[in-house]
Amino acid sequence: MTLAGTIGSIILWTVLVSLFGLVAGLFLLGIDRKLAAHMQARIGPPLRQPFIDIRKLLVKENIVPENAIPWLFNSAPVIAVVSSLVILLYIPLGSLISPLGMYGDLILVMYLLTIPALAMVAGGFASGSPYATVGAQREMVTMIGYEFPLAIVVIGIAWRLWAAGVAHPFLLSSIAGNPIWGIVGPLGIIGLILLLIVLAVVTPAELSRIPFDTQEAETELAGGLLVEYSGRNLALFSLSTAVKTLVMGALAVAIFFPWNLSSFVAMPAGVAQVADLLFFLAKVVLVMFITVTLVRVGMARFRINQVVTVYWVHFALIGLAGLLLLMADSALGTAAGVL
Amino acid sequence: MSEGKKSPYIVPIGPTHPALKEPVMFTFEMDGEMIRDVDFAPGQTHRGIEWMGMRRNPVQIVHLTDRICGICGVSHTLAFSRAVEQITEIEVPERADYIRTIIAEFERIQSHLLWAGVAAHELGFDSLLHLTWRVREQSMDVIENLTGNRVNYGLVQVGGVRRDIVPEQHRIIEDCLSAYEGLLGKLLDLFLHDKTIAMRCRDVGLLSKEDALKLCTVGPTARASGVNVDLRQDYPYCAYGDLDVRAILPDQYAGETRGDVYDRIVVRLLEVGQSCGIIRQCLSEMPAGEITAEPKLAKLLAICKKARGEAIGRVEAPRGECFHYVLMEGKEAPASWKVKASSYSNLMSWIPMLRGEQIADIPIIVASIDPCLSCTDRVAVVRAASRSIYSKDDLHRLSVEKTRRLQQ
Amino acid sequence: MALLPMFPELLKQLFRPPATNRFPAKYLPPSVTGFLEKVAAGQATLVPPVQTPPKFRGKIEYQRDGCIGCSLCVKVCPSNAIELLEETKRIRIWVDQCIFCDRCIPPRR
Repeated sequence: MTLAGTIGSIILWTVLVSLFGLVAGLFLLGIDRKLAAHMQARIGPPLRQPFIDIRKLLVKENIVPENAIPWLFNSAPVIAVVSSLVILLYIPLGSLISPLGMYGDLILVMYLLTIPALAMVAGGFASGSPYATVGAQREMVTMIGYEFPLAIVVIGIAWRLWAAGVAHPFLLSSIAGNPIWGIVGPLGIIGLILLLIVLAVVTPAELSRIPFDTQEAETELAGGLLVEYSGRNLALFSLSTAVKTLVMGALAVAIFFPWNLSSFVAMPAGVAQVADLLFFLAKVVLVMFITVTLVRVGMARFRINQVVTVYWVHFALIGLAGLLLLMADSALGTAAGVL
Repeated sequence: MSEGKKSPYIVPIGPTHPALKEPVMFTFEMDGEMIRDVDFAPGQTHRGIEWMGMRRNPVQIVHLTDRICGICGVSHTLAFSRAVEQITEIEVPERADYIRTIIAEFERIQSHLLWAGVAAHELGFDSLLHLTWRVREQSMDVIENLTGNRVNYGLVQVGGVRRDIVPEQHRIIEDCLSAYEGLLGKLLDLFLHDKTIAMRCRDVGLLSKEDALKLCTVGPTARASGVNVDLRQDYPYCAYGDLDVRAILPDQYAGETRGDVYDRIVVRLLEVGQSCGIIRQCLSEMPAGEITAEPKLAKLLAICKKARGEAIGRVEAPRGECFHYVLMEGKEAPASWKVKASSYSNLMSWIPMLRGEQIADIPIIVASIDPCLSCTDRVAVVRAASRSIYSKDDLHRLSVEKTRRLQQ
Repeated sequence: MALLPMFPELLKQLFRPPATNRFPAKYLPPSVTGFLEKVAAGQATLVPPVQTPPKFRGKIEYQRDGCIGCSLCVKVCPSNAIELLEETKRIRIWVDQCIFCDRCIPPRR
């Protein structure tokens, strides 16, 4: 293929994947709200409610507060939504090849995940409101809190893959291509479950959901970071949250549940890709239900210092225990191999 | 942020804010996330109810008192009626006293459940809010059945009550009570054994027993700090004299009293169970007889018009002691009527509770005394868009001036 | 789940019907009047509202024939919603001012 052809196909894929990310992300939010409502004995809004909300926000007036920094205030939401979409381009969706999958690995994804959060911090500081300022500080503290456990998960998985002799262990395609559960022994499975728990707990913080939503805390900060945002800018932040929900689900699926339907049942190529995509979405919904919906309706909000303690002490320890178990498993596996 | 900066920054909360269910203006002096000092300004929702009352006769005022508070309507009506009954020397029939007690306790049940839901919401625990409010509907349905309305009951009148409790309603009440007694264990488990709630409420918003006594707090706020006060036990009115009511203190459940938000949850939830017991006892011991001392309205109006004298009506509302002072001088309308809602005594306890806590604790601490601000606001000084603060001396001078004026 | 007792409760509730009464329809119709017209035409069904108890205090009905014009109801109305018409000795009720307290209705047992 020529260079122009490659670039052209990448651009086409990018547009398609972005559109898919926006639509699927908004539907995910709708499913989340519906399930949460049913758990609270309510009927809840229809599944397309996030779309209605976005349409409503887009026709509303876009207010920039008097003491805000306009260029930063207005560009933050755009950066947030664009960077969330970019992450999606690196993550495998079912058996579809991700458009940029071969150009970046899990480390890059980890760094990219911080950009929407940083955009929100910048937007919050640029709002010029005490609530948004407090929210922005809290977002930074939360970010520092959850990055460490997340890094443990990523390193643990990649290191175990490398130990098993997988080439390019940080590439998401190789992680997805070699389901980790098949590689490890019984000790490693316990370690993996611990790492899975850590990733599940990092997810609500990445998406600023209860119990880790101190930066937006409705009853304390009246929306925190987003307090001054309205109209189109708020719509963009909502879109960014929607895409990030899909990204976090897809990341968990790619690392821990990468199996595809087509590898179990023989299907013609075209059907297989559609079936895999639907299966992938079902897995994402399941992951989101457990990590986001159930957690956010079943717990009270933490205080910001409790957030840090929970991540740095409790879940960092759980993550390290998982990592140690994986290492022990690898050592045992090698020993067994030698014997 | 401000670790580097020496000066504290100001966070205003109010007059309207999601943390506040009613308008009040807080000014927080913050040091990072920590509250260094706090000041608040009530009076944002003054309605002039006493002024309206002084232009109406007691039969009309009873319905006005129903609307002082949306949650504790019976308490205000009862306190006012009891004041007027003392002035006019009307003896309330015993059966009416029992019916008053039953409706007052139902009000306590629904008010405490409403508060528990609000507290859960302030903690970001909306599922618990939906659950408690769903459970609360049962008591609202019974209240609607007994009085004809969900809020603004209009059941109590001067000299008795307006509706009897008929035998068919006994079954409805009994169903509701047994449902609550079954649910109470579950509610205690969901609120008190939840790790996240304990993390947010234990040792937060501390009010020592000394402070509680010094600031004259009342009701569950005082009891949660270990002060053994309950008008139903200390100054029995209505049917409470025949019943064995003991103030609920947190050490009965947890074995210790810390005076934090958690203890306030304990006291209120246990009082729901206590109220169920009181209602059941009232139902079984309710004597037969009249439900009002004077069924003819024209005659009642004439009695009130003739009456002279002053009296105080005290009632233990769900939030604490509710106090009405009435002065009648042989006219249709009372010459003076003063309402002290229970929250008035509790508001000042915010200051020691909030000092030294974090921003995140503001909503739950503010909610923990179950503030009822539109009931509390009796004065608002607004002159040409400017507001001023009156000190104790100013208020004393003003009241002396007014007394002189009245004496002339 | 000893530390988080809400989780089992929530999962159970997920499979139970919601507590909400679906009045007038499951989701708010785009136009309520349009929906009511449809109901009248028999194209849609109205989910009935929650029943009120037998002695519910609702809108006052005035029986002109039984009225003797004593004006006691005017005197006891807390919101001054009743006006006595001097020439006919009949009353007029201002429903917008009425607080539905039932005070103007003679006590019933």
